[in-house]
Amino acid sequence: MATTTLPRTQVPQLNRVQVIGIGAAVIGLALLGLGFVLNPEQFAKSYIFGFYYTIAFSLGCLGFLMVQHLTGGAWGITARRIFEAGAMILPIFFLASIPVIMVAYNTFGFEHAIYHWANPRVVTPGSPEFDPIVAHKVPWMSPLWFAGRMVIYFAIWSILAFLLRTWSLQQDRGADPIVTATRMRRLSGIGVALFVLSVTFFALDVGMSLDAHWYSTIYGAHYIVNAGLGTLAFTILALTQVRQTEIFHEHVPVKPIHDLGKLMLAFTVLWTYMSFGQYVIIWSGDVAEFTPWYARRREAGWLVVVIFLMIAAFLMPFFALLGRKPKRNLNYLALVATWIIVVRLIDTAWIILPEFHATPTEALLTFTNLAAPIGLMGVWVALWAFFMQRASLLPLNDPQMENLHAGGHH
Amino acid sequence: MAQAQPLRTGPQPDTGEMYLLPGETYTSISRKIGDVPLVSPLQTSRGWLLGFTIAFILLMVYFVSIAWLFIKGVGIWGINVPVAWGMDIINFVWWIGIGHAGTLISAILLLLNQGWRNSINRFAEAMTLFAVACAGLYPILHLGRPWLFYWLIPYPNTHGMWPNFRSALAWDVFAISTYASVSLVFWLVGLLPDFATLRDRATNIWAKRAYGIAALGWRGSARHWHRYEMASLLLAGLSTPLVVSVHSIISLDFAISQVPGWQVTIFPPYFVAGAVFAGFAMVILLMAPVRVWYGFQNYITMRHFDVMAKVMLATGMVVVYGYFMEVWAALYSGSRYEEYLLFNRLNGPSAWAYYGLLFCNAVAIQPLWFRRVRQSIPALIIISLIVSVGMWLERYVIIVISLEREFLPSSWDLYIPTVWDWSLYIGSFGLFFTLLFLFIRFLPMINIFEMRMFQFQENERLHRRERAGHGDTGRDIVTGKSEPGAAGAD
Repeated sequence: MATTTLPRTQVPQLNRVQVIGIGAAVIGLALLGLGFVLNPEQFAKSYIFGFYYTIAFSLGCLGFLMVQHLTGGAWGITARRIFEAGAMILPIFFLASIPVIMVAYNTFGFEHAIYHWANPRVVTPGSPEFDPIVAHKVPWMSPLWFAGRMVIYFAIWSILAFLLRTWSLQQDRGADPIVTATRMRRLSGIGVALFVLSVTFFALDVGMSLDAHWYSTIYGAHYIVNAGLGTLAFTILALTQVRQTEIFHEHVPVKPIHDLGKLMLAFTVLWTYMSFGQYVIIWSGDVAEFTPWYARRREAGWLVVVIFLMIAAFLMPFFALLGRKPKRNLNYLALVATWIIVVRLIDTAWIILPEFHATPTEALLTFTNLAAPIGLMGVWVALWAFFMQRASLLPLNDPQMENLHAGGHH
Repeated sequence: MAQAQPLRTGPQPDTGEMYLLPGETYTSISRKIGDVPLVSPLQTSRGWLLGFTIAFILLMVYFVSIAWLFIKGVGIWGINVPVAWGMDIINFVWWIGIGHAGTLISAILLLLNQGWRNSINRFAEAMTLFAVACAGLYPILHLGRPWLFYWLIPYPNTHGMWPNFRSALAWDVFAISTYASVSLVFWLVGLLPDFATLRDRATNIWAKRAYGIAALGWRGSARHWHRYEMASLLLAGLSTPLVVSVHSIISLDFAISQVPGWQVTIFPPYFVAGAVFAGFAMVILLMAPVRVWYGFQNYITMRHFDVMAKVMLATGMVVVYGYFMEVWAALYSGSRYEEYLLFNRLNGPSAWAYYGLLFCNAVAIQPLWFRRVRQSIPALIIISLIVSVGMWLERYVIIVISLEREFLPSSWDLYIPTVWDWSLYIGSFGLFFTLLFLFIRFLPMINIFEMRMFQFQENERLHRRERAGHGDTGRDIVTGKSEPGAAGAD
């Protein structure tokens, strides 16, 4: 790596962030380890939740990285390195998926497999627990094929992340900027299509199939939007950490920040739109095949979470981001972004945890449910900071840099 | 703002990299665009007369079809039980979808600072209004007693009757009427400065008076402009959620039911994407000839077509994603009705429509990945035509194939459109094109003042780049965006 040759003015100083990340990772993973010793089954459930939440940030980074290669724009060039660093975590996070694959194989030998379809008694005809609907899904939902798909997803994501990062760094080191930019744009075109398909199936596999009966065609798209929203919020927070870097002062006007604020507003609305759309369709149809999923998420106190999400995930950020002035103030945006990241966790909890816990209080009192996301996010942030410090904060040779200068300082 | 001089003069080949070809001045823009509606009636071009006549004849077909419908009732159509929604609703969804591209261009791209929208915005917005007019009439005609359509509006009445507020069909009424009125106001507000330009340029006293009245006393003062900009932004902000809500609610017309193939949670975003997809196909189909007839190649360039083709490809891929998820759901669900629906689409009596849709919307758009195809007008016209057919087939598949064979085999029946179904559909083109030809003849098709502003901004850009020492490298001078946008649509 060419860390030493990079001038200090270009590299963000993220030691503090890295230390915080490592701290959170140590505490979170230690608690998670304790959870494993005390109650392996609960550990596995919490781990799936934490993994599903954390990896969304990397997926969002990879998605936006490709989108900004395709659309251009000041926001994209400003956040490109943040996205690259987040996406580069994906190859490493394959390791984090191994416990999930082990859960699918029921390696720990739980009596009731967490993934219902992984229980041989459920899918074997003649067994008293036999469930024909789950059995119908077996060719697709089987531990082996689940693991195989996981490898495929991570292979796709890793190759995309790796190539985009490598070419981008080559561009920094003096490769023809037009040629490298074109190459990255072309890969991103195909990449977005592959990304959408693979992330959709990832969400269906890891998240949706926890309820082996239920299905919803918008589930994958909803997860992609969730990931996008969380990533935008993280990007805002990341900008507050790198803004001391000299080249940031030199090149970045307020416009890209304003644009990221607008995108965050758009994704907040998109999240609401998809969440409400799915609900209203299932509520109106009122078919026994689809309603149980929502019934579980409305009963025994979970309704409180629903009302909280309506206010906290839609109304609050929506009005907070509606005005023009607030979106041009990074400190204010960072406040909203922190809120969004916390609410993402609660939303993910509402999507995943009712499969494991009858009441939200029970879910909250289970310490591994907090330890898993904190520990994994700690690892994630530390890795992100590591990759951020390996490259210049802005891809200075990219033709898109012109967009930053054309916007002017307002 | 000083009169900007073109940096380079003389004709320039359209290499597909510029949104505004060089060689234009403020005056040339006002003249080229503004003089089209100001031509004296006796000098109206023959091409226009021919086109208008054909459109007008089709409009008469439309009126005859409606008159016969009013006399005989909906029994003249091919609808039956179980297929109670037929071509009327297919055409309704098809037309309104086409309208959505106009609002996307006029409102969403304005909010995203995409300067390239300036030259196609007015035309696309007009297309929206006319398409919504065609669409809005279908559900009313389908009512059986269309003259009682006002019963759809909730008002206190002696029958003590209210629409069912839980029904998406009732929401449709509000969504579409709001959408149509906001789009109309947005379009008219955008026309004000241009009406004033026409008023000032008109030599005929009657034209001067007519445009003068329409301009509502526009004098171009700073205060006028300030309010104008404010109103445009607010209306754009209003239109954006409206355009999404209209097609989402239309998708809910289907999705809130229990019919297999209708109760699909991906429907709202998938319908919106499909609408934009079909709409851009129509914009391309209309723009390609009009810009040649009126010599607007400098304003509507290959770069515009390139970007529109990219939007078409992107939204088309979202639609393909929707098809894919539907197939996946049928295979994954374990529900015999879902499985049968897929079987019926692939093997049933209307399977041709499903295969046609897959070809038109999924296969035919793939060449758009290549720049050479995106920059070829003939290729774009062919693909856009195929897409327009494909999106019509999509609604046919959703409506007819699902209804033909619902849950009970004993109530299955085929749907065969009658000559009146077709005449009403063909006639609706008469309404659309009559309005469109009138628009081309009497209003400026391209926003004159926005083009002048765009010209100014582009020149500023050029000057800035040349000052910055990039010099005349040719390759990426005037790459297009007046102000680099946020999430660009391409």
